[in-house]
Amino acid sequence: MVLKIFFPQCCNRADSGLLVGRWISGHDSAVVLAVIHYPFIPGQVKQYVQQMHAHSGVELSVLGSWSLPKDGQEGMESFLRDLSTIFPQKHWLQINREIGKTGFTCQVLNRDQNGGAAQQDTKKTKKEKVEEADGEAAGDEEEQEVIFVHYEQRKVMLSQLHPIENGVPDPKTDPPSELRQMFHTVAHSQPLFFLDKYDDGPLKSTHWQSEGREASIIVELLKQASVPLCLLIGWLLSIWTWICNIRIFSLYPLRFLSSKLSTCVQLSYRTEHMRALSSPKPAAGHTHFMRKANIVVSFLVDVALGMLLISWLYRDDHISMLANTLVPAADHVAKELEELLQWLMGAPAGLKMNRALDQVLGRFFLYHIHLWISYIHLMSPFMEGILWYGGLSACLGLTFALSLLSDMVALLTFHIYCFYVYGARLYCLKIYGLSSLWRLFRGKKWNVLRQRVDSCSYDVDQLFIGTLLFTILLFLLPTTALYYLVFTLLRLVVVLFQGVLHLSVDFINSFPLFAMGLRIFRSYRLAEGVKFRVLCEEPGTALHLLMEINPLKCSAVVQTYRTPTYSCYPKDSWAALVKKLFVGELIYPWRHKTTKTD
Amino acid sequence: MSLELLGVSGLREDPAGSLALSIWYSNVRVMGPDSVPGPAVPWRKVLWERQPFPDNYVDQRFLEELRRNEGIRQYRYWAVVKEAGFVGQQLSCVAIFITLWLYMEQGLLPPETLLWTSLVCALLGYGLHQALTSQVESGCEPRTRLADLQSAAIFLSFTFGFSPVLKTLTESVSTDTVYAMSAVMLLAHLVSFPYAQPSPPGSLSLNAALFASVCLASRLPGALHTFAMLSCALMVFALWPCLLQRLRENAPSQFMGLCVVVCIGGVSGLGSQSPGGAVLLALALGCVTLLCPLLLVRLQRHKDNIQGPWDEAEIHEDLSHFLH
Repeated sequence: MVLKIFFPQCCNRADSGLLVGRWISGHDSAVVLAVIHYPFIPGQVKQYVQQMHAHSGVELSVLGSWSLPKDGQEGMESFLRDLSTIFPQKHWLQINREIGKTGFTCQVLNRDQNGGAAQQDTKKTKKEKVEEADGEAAGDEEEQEVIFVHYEQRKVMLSQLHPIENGVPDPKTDPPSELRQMFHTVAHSQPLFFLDKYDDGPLKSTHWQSEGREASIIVELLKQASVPLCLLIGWLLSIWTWICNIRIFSLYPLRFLSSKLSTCVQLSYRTEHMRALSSPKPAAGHTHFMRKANIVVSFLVDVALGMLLISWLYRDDHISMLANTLVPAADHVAKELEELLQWLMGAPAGLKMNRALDQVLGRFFLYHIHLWISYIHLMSPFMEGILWYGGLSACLGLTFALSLLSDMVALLTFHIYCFYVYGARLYCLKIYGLSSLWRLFRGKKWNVLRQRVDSCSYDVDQLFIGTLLFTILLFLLPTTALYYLVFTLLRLVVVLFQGVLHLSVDFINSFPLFAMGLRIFRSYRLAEGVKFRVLCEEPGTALHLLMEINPLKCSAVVQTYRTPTYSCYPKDSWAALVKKLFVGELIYPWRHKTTKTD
Repeated sequence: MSLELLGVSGLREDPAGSLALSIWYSNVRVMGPDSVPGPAVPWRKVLWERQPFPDNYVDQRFLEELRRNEGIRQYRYWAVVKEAGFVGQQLSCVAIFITLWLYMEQGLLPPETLLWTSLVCALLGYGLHQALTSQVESGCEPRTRLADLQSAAIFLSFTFGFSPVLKTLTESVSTDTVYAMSAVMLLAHLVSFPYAQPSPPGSLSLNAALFASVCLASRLPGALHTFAMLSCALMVFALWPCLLQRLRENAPSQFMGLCVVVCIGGVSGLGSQSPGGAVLLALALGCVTLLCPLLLVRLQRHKDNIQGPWDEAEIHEDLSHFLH
């Protein structure tokens, strides 16, 4: 049976006294939290321990005694043993250290059911158990090995062990692991660490904060300022929500439009974030705190980048320059499209096009482009004003500016989208008709009930008309396919550009900057586990290990703390996408995860 | 082992061997499997019992149930020639169609003439069809005149409506491709034609023929030409076989005469355009109607089908009494 004692490094040189800590249930371990020095009154110690227990919720108790005899202090052995009778425990630890030696010695007094104490000494320990013939233990005593695990109290107190388990653990399942309980104990024992050496109370203790409590003025000021700030944010949010819930905005066309425009979607996500921040209560639990911190940091970074953009945009008349290049650019695109259509209406790349259908489709699309160019020219005087006011939206954050850009691109290339839909629908109809008529050609039919192809005896008129239509569709296929191909390619280019914008917006929204910063600068706060280093392995003393915190890997940090908004990722695999393109189904390759259920 | 020798010699069926077998068999009866006198054990053709014979042992009843050439029919040459005449007739139909197309393409046959001729022929054929049908007792769902008129109207209107579109279909396709496609489709039509019962036309054969005719018709100089060609194709490939079916059922001798007439018509029609084609067609007809039946009859002699209890079981009794 190995007894593990977690001993704080700050208490290595503490004066003799009583050890206060907690026995970890389910495992043979104890966590030492503080040392209470002589002189003390046992009644006051008991009262203090109970007070701390009630305050913090951790099952504190007196674990044993610690003796580091300074010069001239002798004869403590019997005194220490008598102490064990004052504080009734199942096990009583007596840890001794001598100045000049690095190792501790520990004696464990066990109380059996009769109340008598049996003493068990430590044996010299190595990694494997070694049986000694001339052990000091007599008769029927068990061998007790003790391992001292030294830990740095402040770091363990601030650290959070991953994966995070939330909620009350079910008492029927196995108790949580030793490490988890130890971290939990230290983290929740904060009231114990408020007693420092400048207090005038009856007790003196040693822990990591006993040299004096530290606090930072900035942090305190922020904590004081956060409450009114949260109230302000809450009030603004309530006004905004009231505006959004006006009846006129819940009409169907507006609602549909606002779900498609990425600016409105981004607004709704920021509203959600603000709502998460606006409660004045402090965060309950580590996850909640990290999420709030991430939201705040990403929002601030967003606004800073947006301000940078504004400062560039409104300087040196960049806006009018942009507006002046926009209309000629749109004109240029339209001209290129017209040339493309003229090329298609000829004999493009020597392909066999049906001239009549070619002319019809080409003229139809040319007319559309003409309409579009007229529209752009109509809008050109207002372009500068639109850009000026649109640029102001960047003060809410760079994400808004990017969303607005994406929406504007979508609006300006709306005609390409229309062409794509026409071409795709025509092609899809053709493919569908061809496949059905091909089955008729062979004398078969699609059985909808059984979802398979069956043979069927057709009538002569059905056969005749079917064959005619089949021939027509087959020979018109190259023409339609070519138009479909061209417009699909154009549409894919636009979709790609929009996708890049959406991905960057998504990145700014969801990347956990605060968690990454914490991982880089204060890596002990996010712990994946621990690693041990051997400190002292002398014969005659117990084994001493140093526990160091193993920080979480960066990829795990990102995965755990990503803000779950607006995940924009491809909906179909490559194979499904190619199949959809081949058949002529309309593709919307980026899927947006909405926060509400569909 | 003496038993294995028995197994080998049992394969011969001649009576001498079977006699020898019975002698050996009686020996086995006396001697038993280990050459020890034992009880008589007749061999049974089962494997689920332990028998004192090896697993691959057979006795003289081996291959008793073998049946050779069970369903064979004796063909008579001239009967087969008569049946093959129908195939030749269809081949000549296709040749006539191609001839008409050649004439129209060269402008020697005006489309109106073809249209009126087709109409007259269709009406004559329809009358003949109705006359022959009334002789036979038509039990199941006779088509009324109205339904026939409706079908005709649909055909004509569709064809007339789509003929401008059909005309431009193969404009950009090269001539060689068009000819190749048509040839393949007509071949498919001939191969998949339901010679046994042409009246409900087979889907693939009719569709292939119509596809080929559309391909060819789109090469003609005008929309009316296309319409005329398609109507002609419809008549030749869709309506003519129905008439033939009726004739074959009711007037077999006239049917034979008609086949011969069609064949001669095909050869002569093709001959007026290209003599080489006519020669080829005549050769093909000769092969199909005279040579192939000869081969069929001659090769019957080499037929060697075997059937036996190893075939898949066929259920001969009526299983409906299991349903009650």
